[in-house]
Formats: sequence, C-alpha cells, structure tokens
Amino acid sequence: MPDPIEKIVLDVIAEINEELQVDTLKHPDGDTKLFEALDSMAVLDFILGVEESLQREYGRYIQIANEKSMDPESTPFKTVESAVAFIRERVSDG
Amino acid sequence: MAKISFNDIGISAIVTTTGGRRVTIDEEAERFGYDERTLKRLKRSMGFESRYVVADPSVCTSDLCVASAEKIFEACELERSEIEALLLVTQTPDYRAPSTAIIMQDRLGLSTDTVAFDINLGCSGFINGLYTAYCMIRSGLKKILLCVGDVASRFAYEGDRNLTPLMGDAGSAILIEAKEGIESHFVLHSDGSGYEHLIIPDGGCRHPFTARSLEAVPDSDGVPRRRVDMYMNGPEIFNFTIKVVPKMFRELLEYAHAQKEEVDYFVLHQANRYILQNIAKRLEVDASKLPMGTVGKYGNQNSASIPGTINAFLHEPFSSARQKVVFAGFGIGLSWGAVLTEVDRIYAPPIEHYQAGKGDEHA
Repeated sequence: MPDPIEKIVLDVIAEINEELQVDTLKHPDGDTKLFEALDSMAVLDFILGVEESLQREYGRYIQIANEKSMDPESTPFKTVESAVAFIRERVSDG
Repeated sequence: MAKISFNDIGISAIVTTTGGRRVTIDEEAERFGYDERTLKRLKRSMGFESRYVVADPSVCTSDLCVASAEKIFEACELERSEIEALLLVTQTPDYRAPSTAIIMQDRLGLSTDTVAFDINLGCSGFINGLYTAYCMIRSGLKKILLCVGDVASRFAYEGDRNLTPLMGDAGSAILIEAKEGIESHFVLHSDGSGYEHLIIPDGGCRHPFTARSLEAVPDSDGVPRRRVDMYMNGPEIFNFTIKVVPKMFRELLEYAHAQKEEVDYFVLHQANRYILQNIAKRLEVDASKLPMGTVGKYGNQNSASIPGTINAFLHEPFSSARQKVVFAGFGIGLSWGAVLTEVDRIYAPPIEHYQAGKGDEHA
C-alpha cells in the first residue's frame, strides 16, 4: 500500500504539472528537485493542494507553510523526499 | 502593548468608489504577453478576473474619496458643519505637501474648524485610521470622516508584470461617531525591520528623486522597475503574513474574551488567496463569512480593501442587521492590526465606480 503522504505529494505535483509542463516533474522520485522547478505561484499551489488533501485524508487542517517555505536555501520543499519528510513531521505534530 | 478597547463609538456609513475603468485579465495577458497556460493559472490559482483603475490619469485618491464622501452626505442627511475631523489614509497623496486631507476639507465644504491630516499607511491603514478616529471621538469630537484609499495603479511600473496586474484604485469614506452599546477591541503592531520588503525607494529625503529614478532596470527575474515604483519582495511578504496574521487573530480573540463562533464576518485585507484561505481553515470559518473575492474582481485596493470588500460583497447584511465583525489589515511598513467590533444597520451601498464630475467639481 503506498505511503499516503507520498501519494498526496505526487498527486499534487502531477496536478500542478498539468499546467506547468516541467519535464523534470513528469516522473518525479524522491531525488527530484521540487522547489527549483516551481515558480512562486506554483509553490503556493503546491502548499494549498497538499493542505487540502491532508484535510481530506486526516479530517483536520494541517498547515505546511512556514517562514522557510519560500526561502530557496532553507525551504523544506527542496526535493520530493524532503517535502514528504517535512509533511510527515507536520502530520505527526498534529 | 497596543491593545485598546473603546465603548460607545461606531461606524455609521461606509462607501467605496473604485476607478472608473475595468481592465480584464485577458487584456493584461495581451499586454504582458502571458501565454495561454500562464493566463489559465492566473485565473484558476489566483482567481484573477479583472481590476478597476482610474480611467483618466489626472484622477487622484482625493477624487475617489470625495465621491464616496459626497454619497454619505447625500444619503445620511448629514450637515457638513457636523464633521469635526477628516482623516485621509493614503500612500498616493495628491501632492507631496500639503496634506491632501486639508485640500479635501475645502472641496467637501467642511468648516475651517475641522481637524484634517493625512496618515501614510497601506494595507493596515483602515485599522489604524479607525483606531485614530476612535481616539478622537473619545477625546470629545462628535463626528469624523475617515477616508482611505490609493490610486495604487500609479505606484506599480507599467512594465512590471508581477505587480501591475494586482493593483486596483479605490477610495472609501467612513463615517464614525458616538454609538451607544458598541464595543471595539483593537490590537496594533509595527515592525520597521522589514521596511525594505515593500517600498518605493526614491522620491523621499533619504533617496531624493533624480534622473536615475526613472530608469527601468530589470530585476533578477527580468522584471523591469524604476526606483519611483513599488517594489515587493514576495517571499518575504508571504513569510510575514504566515508569521503574524494567524497569531494576531488568536491575540485579538483572547484580548476581547471572544469566541470565533460569535463573529458573523471576518473581513481581511485582500492580499492573497493563500492567507485568506489559511485563516478560514484555521478558524474553521465558512468561506461565506470570510470574503476572498475582492482582489480577483477589483484588484488590491490597499487601505480601501476592507471597506471595499464590505461594499462589494457584504452591503446587504451590513445594511440590514447588527453584525459582530473582525477587520484585519497587514502589509507595508511592516504594519498589522485588527479590530473586533460591531456594526448595526449602517449605510453601506454597493460599490461605486468613479464617474468624472459626479460630486466632484475639482476633478
């Protein structure tokens, strides 16, 4: 059974990329560079998409945006793997 | 600590006038050369549909505010001599000096006994203006006209494809007076360490206007901008809103000993869809109680975005019944504030669009 958080992240990336059409996001894996492939509007789309999916999955609002979201150096969304790990942490924190 | 409560002071009327020209996002797409994909994303993701700007470049903030104020005089059977103070919150005054509010005192035919001055604030301007007006009522004045607004389309460079499509022009007039039984609780904050994140660098005394101020220089994303135009560091402003706005709501409700369930409407500065959705989700508030459509339909109206949202989307409930409301503004400065208050069947007509000459013989 696929990890639900990883599935959410991959589904949201696929949805965003329908419009963005970034080659590197067509078949993403853990190492795929996420943040650098998205513009600022797409980062917001990603955050909104993941938060909405988490709310559906877990029945509560879980905020994944923080002060580092938009910072290229410290963003937790640098790669797909780092994004999944960060979101998993946020879900555990409640 | 800027937490202040007032009793028996309230709002009696809110009128907003936008610029007279509607610009659609499809027109912007043609102007800025957006491809079809980008246009689709702007419509879907940001909700952009149109914005209203002044049709004639000679129309100023004061013209929009005077039109709004005249409508209050017409509708509320208010004598001009009753107004004891006129405050104008704007970042686009008619002149660098004198205060535009003083010129408006004459244009509106108010008494020379009127206190009149400008307040230089943007997105938090409605809250700070309201607070200043409430202080003046508490000090003994009877009726105050608070005007808020900007011709924001003027401070974005026409070639700036990031900022220009966001900007809307609007001017609101708000009548404030003694009102028995109305309680208001304010929380207000400022943090000048972030002043460079939203700034017009040239034209003040720190960096006076020179020929270089008019040179359009592309930034790291290739977006051209002059030093007399507004610069916004988007990621930093996003971080700021994420950091302070949700916290401010908790702080306000705690200070006012109020529960979110008691609040009928949350009217926030209409900056970006994410922060509005974030607040709605955190507070578990239905979208019908927290309007989000102003920026997509009218553009970012800066200090007029809260009254603009009321006139655009809430004129019926605000006109017909007593409502408990939270207003919250946040942005340039950096500055942020919120108020929990009540409005009781105020005069709040649907939003108006500016028509030259209407109630404005000086335009």
